[in-house]
Amino acid sequence: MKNSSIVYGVIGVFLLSLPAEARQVNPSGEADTVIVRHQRYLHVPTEHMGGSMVDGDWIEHMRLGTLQLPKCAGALVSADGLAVTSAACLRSLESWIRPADSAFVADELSMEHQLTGLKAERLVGIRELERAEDPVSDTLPGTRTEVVAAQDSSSFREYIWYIYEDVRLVLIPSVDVANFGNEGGVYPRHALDFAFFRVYDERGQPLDTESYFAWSDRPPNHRERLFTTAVNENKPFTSMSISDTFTYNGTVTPPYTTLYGMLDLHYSHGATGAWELPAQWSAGIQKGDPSAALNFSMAGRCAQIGTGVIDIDMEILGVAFDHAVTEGLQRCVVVSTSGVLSVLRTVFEAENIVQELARQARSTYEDE
Amino acid sequence: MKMNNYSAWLIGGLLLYTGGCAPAALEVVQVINQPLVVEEQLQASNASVEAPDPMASLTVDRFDVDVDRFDGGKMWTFDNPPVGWLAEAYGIDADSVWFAKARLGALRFGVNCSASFVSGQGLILTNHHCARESIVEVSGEEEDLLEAGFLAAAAVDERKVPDLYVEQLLEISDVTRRVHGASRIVRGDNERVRARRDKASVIADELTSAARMRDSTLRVEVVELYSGERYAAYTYRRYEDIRLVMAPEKKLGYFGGEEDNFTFPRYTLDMAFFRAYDREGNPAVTPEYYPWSQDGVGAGDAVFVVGNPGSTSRFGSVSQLMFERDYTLVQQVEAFQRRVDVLQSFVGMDGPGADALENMWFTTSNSLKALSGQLEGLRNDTLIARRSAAEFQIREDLFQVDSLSARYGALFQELDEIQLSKRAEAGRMAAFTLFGTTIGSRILTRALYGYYYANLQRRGYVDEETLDGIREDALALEDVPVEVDRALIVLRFEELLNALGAQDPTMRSILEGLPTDSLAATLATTTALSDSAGFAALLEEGFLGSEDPVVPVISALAPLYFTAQQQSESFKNREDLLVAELASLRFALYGTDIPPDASFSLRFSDGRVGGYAYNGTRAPAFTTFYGLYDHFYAHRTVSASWDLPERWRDPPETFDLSTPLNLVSTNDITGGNSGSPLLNQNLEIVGLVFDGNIESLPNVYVFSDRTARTVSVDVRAILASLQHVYKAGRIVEEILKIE
Repeated sequence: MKNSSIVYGVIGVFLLSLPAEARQVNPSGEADTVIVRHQRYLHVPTEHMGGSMVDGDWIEHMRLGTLQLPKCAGALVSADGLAVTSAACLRSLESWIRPADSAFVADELSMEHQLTGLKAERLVGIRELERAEDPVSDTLPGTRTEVVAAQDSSSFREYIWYIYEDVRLVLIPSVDVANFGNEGGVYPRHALDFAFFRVYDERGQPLDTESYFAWSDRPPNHRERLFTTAVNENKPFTSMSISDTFTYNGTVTPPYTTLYGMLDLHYSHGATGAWELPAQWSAGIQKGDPSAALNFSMAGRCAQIGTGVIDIDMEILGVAFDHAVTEGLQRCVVVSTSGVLSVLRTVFEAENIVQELARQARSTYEDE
Repeated sequence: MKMNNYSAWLIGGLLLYTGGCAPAALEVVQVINQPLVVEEQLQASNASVEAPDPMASLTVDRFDVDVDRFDGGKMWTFDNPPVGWLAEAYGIDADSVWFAKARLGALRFGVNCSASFVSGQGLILTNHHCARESIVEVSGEEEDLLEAGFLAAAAVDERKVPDLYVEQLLEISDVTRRVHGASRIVRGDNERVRARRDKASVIADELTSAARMRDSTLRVEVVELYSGERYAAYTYRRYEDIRLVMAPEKKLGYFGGEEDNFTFPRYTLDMAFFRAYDREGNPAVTPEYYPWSQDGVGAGDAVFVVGNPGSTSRFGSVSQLMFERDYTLVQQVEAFQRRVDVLQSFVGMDGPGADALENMWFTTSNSLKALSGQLEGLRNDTLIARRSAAEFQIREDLFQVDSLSARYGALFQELDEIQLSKRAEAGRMAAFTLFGTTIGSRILTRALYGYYYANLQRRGYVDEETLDGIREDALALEDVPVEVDRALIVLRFEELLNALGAQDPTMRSILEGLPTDSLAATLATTTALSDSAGFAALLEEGFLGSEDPVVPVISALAPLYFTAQQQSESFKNREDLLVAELASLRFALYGTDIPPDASFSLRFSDGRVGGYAYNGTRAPAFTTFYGLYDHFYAHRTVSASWDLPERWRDPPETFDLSTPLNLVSTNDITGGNSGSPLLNQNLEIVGLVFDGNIESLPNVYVFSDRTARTVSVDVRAILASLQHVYKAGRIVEEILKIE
């Protein structure tokens, strides 16, 4: 099969009102003070979107469901502030205090472990300025602003970030499964590189939000259009990419890999070294659905590590965790929500998280 | 397609894997092996092209590389087994008894594969892809055994395969002296080679007659080694009653399909069992079989392949390699690519001719993959540099010995000059790449047959039997849908125009001012050659005298084609002679320390089980059945190549999916080795060779074991699937010797 042409483009950055949560903490601020323009509809070329249309609400949801972490992104996956990112994004923190390589699972809220010093930020507003000296949003409590010049320096933009300072670890797999095979930069890949954390508000309550992505239990379709949002330096954007297959090693990559492949590598390499699964994993995977999708890849580099990979219906299908170059092609490697769900159930036995994800999901996998 | 010896000739270079031992459907067959002698004399080729400095364009030169002792490969003969090397490399004390055991369990299977005995009752193990044709042949009218698989429940259910035979190498004796004696007084290189080959054939007949007095199943072949520096008489026992015992479904035997060919990691159960019967119809008594290893091998273990590799291109000159890199391979890759592009748009269609179309497409894309891998290897300057360094060393050594420098001093220069002549002709030759093969327009190929047949008949050169053979081959070409043929005719016309130019008189007379597609449309819809029956009738009536619209086209094209063929044959003959001289020189310098090139006779190759670096990570030495399921589930929404039959989808709980399925090792193999046993040092069978990885494709030029690997089915996978999925207790008991 020939490589598909790479579709990887910026489709939009858009401006909207402060979300409800931001307004609540800014009783004195008038919402309309930060609304400078509201682009209601964004038309994306239909050949890229399979005929779908993306509107301003959709873009706003993408932006507000996305969290910025130091050098990483994350995605909100429940109405109670649960979020997912790449395991490496949390383990690389200076404040990381757990034994370096081990797994952590909080069975209930009280066991969630505060990641001291970690801040998660959300882009809650964008304001256009005539002059760089005009920022006013600094006055909003709990926010920070960035002023960025437009390309021609004739105008400026103020980005308003809401800062969450209480971020707690919910679940992280051990390094040996998150970095399974130590195969950085490689696809096809079999790594469970994900972690869950929860954002708490200033009252110490789990963040109450409507802007989250429902957890999907399906793998991507072949050549499906998928979306990621990043705040990348000073240009927040939503990018679109496609999950597809490509030629390598004399053959063609699968659209995604499965948990069976993890077992194959474990036994193929003699259950030693970088592909050795922790005790109970082999049995645990097989108790669930080993045919569940594990990793897939999208054309182009990842927008950002840890970012959610979202379908047109706003469901999250995966978490971007590595850039790969295979036979000269840039790929973004993603851990599938489908495989994560299977191991949450039968390896981590994290029924609380499964239930929390299921409550938000459109599909009814909680009944399985 | 089955071809008679009269006209079957595999295109050189495609013998590797694709032709040598791929499924029969994957052979690219050149339909006519002998050029018609063209009346007009060939112009002496113009060698005015400037001599290239072989090293000038290389980014790596010969000083940067080390020549390895085994650049020429490790396909050892049993005439001169590597006793010292096995001791040195593996600490194995392999005596003549050990080598005899290693030799006697191995078989040559049919005309292009290898196999082995795995029980004392004649049970034979080979590849599914070597068995494909047999499986189809023994299928009843209502059966599709290729799809469904086959298991003979009892001995009486084993099905005899018509015309299939296997051969066991019983004895080897050196007949060099006798053969060379015949050529001592002959003058001229050509004549000397012919005299030797004639003598070798006489000796083979004589020894065969003598052997048959003892045992009517014996026959003797005289094998040419080191391009004629050594001749050995090989006495074979031929088993002619071979019956199919067990074959898995094609989905298992060819798991991963065309895509995974030459790939590792791999998950293919490419196996089949047959049984040899004696003339009384009883299972043959075969005490020389290889015992089955239940424990298999581990990474790092020494393993040995015994089989019948075809040939390589490791022993020519650097200038030949560069010609191959710059012309032959490029032209072939481009020609195959264009055909892939054309065929791809038709693949998947239903109706008459769809199967033949699919076969053509598989052959084409598979050949393209193999040739592209070889070309990529040659474009790696390190490879050329290694060959250059070796060639430089030979030149140095040669000039140390007066007698050698007198005899061989001009050898390399002559080879270089032939390449220059070939370069001058290459553009014209390109017009006919793949012309008259099974890849391309059936109408044009049949027309070429018709032209050839009519001319031979007219000139009375050949006997009736030969003519019958040619007719049979011609009629064996399967029909493809006419719209496919039409597109392939357009492609050929475009290629001819590109190579010859629109003003070429032949092209002008063919096209008569018409665009290529309208002439192709006319031909495709009005000729009788678009189906085999019409062609048969026309051959009977006299093709060239008919009114068929393709007659003027082929009458204009064929002389050009045969002239080009004749030119290329004449280059080839001269080169073959010089390469044989080069082999003599090597032999004079290095003796039997270096194994001779492969020759589809029995060879022994040593290596070790081991993974390798690939795709930014490391390929394991083994795969497991978990990987089979990984690929089944991962690919199933997109491709049927990794599909599993129903009984495999839900394996019984007793089946341990962590059982090793395929494994890789560093043994040196090439086309013809398919079906070879992989043995441990106790000469127990631990694997079944079925492929090389993609990295091994350039091994046709220089042997390397850095990342090139032999791919085998692990015997533990064979046993587990027989036990747990196929419930083949009878075979299991036989190979494990359970009474």
